[in-house]
Amino acid sequence: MMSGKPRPHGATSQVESTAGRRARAARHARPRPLVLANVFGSNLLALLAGALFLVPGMAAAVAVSGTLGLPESLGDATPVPDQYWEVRNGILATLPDHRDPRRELLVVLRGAEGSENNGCDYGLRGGDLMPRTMVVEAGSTLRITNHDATPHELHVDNLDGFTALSTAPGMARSERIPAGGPYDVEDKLYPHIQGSIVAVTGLVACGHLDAHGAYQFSDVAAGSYQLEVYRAGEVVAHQEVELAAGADVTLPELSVAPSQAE
Amino acid sequence: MFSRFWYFVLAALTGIAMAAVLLAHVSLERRTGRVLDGDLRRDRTEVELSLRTEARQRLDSILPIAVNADIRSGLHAATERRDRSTIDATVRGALNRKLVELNGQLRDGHADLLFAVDGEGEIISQLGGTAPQAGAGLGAFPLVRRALLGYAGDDTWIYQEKVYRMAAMPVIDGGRYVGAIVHGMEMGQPFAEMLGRGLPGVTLAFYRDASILAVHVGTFEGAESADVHNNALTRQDLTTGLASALSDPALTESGHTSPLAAGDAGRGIYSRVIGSAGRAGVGYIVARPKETLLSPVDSLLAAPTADVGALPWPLIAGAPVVLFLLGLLFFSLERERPFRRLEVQVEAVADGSRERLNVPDHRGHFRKLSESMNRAFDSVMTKAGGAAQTRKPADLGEILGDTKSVSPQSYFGFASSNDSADVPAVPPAAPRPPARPAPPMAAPAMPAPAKPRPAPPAPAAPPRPAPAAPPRPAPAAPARPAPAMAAPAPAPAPAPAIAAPPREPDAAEPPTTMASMPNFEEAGDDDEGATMIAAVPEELLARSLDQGPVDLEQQEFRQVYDAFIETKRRCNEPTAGLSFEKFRGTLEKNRDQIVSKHGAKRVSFSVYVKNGKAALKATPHRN
Repeated sequence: MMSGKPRPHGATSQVESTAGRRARAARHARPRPLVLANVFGSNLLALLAGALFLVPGMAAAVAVSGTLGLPESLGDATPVPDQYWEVRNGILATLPDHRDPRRELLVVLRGAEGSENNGCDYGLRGGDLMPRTMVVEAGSTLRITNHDATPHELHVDNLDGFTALSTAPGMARSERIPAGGPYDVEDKLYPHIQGSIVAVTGLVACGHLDAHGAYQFSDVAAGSYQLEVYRAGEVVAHQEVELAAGADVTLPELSVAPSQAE
Repeated sequence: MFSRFWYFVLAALTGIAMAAVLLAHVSLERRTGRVLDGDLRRDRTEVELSLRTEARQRLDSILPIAVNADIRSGLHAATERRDRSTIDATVRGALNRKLVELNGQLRDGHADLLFAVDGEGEIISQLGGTAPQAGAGLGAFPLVRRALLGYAGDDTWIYQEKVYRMAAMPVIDGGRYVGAIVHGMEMGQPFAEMLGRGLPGVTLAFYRDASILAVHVGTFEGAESADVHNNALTRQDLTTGLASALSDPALTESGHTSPLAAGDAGRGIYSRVIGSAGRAGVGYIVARPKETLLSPVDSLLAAPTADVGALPWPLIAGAPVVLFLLGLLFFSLERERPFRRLEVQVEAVADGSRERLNVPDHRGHFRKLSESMNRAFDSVMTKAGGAAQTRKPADLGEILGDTKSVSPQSYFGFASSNDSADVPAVPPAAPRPPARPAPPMAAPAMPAPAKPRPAPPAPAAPPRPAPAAPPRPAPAAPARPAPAMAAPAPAPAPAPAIAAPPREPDAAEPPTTMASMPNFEEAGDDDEGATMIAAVPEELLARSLDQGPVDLEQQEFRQVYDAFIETKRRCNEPTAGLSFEKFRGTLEKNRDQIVSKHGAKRVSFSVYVKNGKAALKATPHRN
């Protein structure tokens, strides 16, 4: 669901250069003689110089993976607020209603300096926030994309400007989040949608978490980081991470404590 | 008295009736308001029961969809697919066709929004609404999530700007949950009408925030009742009430308000719907128009024929008639009959058959009126020609009332008809001697020799009008002035038939008016025998002054007796058996009655001729 493209602060230009290079490479794949003539002409030196700078950077990015030690259950999911009927099907045993770790937890890396371009992807999927805790770089813009087929009206009561505006399907809601938090975010139309927004400094990357608690960061620059696990706006687990250049890292299992809310 | 009391009773009854009607009107309106609130609470309960029942019916109705083999296999395939980013178009198409077919079989319960979701909650097929974007799902909606866990349930959603009542049923295939069928019925106009059909007279509306989504106005059961004015509720009325309901804490705390005003036309209860949408500001309104009572007058005018026919008309018509007749009776007893009695007497006075009104015949105001009229007669007579007596000697018949029960030998001029027939009228002047000195009859009664007293005022002219005076021969008149018609008469007034007792005249009253009786005046023209009484010896008069009141009275009675006997003789009436003792007893008896009736201190009697017969008159004296 969420694919992080974490990069250390200061590597923004490199990322942009890499993207430009890939775009140009794609264009070079097509037969364009006149362009090739230009490349071998005035742009050749620049191209070579860029390659010299990029190769060491790419070589420094590493993949970080690990597993969260989840409790047996993250608690029961939010029930239907109220209803007239709920009956068992009578044919097959019902299943336990546990919370989905992919919605409940968020794994992030924080470094000395964060960036707005940390690859964190937040959205509304299946009728709920994914994930429910959204960590952003303080002062940056939070972007929540509506992947559902129906509009949502997210709002944060204690955050000026974050009022209940309708976000149509396929559109995104963008709000600048000041430092602080957690801010409780709700959906006016769907009371079961309840999340948290936390604005921190030094946010480097958001990890990809599966249903079993396995997480993964890609393309993380070498350096010292703090791995934090958020749930309901709180840090429920954290770990110091030292990443050496050129070597992917698998971190030991990190136990997740129940949130204070539980 | 009775008629006045009757007027008071009628006025009191009218006031009480008006107050009762107005109070009843107010009380009825208050009670109608309480009944209306009670009705609204029952209506809300019925709506809740209807919604619950309808939810269960829809759950049951989508069961055939959930167990359909094609649906199950299609969702199974969708759940098992490896590439979650795409869905086999064949599977999607088959599911769509099947959903359309099965939804059509639901008839009234067909879905306005129908989903088939796979085991992850992703929408595989959808009927109604806007087509979802790729990958859109419903798995995090509590209703769908629970369905994917094996629960069938219901909820309300706001989905794509519309409000739906939702129901979800798990789909089981191959021993596992492979998806769910999610059924939605829009809470729009058709749903409101379907639900409101079972609630006659109820206005049912759905709202979201401050907007009315749909309104069903129920027909009013009492519309044919003319005493109730039914104001139809409008959408604006409901919206007006909604504004106050949304600010009512009870709506959030208990899910519904108490009965509130729905505009000016009605009252309603505002409730949240059960489910997610209820917490997002969706609810329903159960309202009824106010049953404003017509005014009492309008109620009468607009009363339906059936109600009018059901009234107890014998009582309604009979009671006023009885009361009216009773009022007429009272009025007749107190006004009409006394007035008629007075009228007859006045007419009698007018045509000369009566001199004065008979005061005892009248009561209350009529008595006062008759007394006033008598005084008026006197005043007129005085102005017409003489000193009117302020108080005419009362006929005993006037004083004592009807004396017809008295013996035919009555001394008071009420002789029996036989006697009247036998005894012809006596011309007053005929038996009388020729002229003689003026007051031969009065002299004995006057105590002048013993106690000189001032000359009495001019003898009061007889109040009797001229026609009443008996004709008399012209030659007899020149000898003396005609005192009967009495213009200011000279001092020697004609003597009455009998003189009053020898007492000084009252200061407030003129001398006894017996002396002014015209008949006797005329008799004065005749010989003394015509005056019916002999002169009282001077020594007797003198001695009487020293006697006590009883002796004087006895003496007076004797004189009256003598005068009466004499008069009867003159009138050729029999006198046998008329002893003094008997006569005196009668006088005493009548004296006592007059004294007690008029509060007089004493009574003097005089004799005169009436219709040719001797008669007595009594004059009460207050002083």
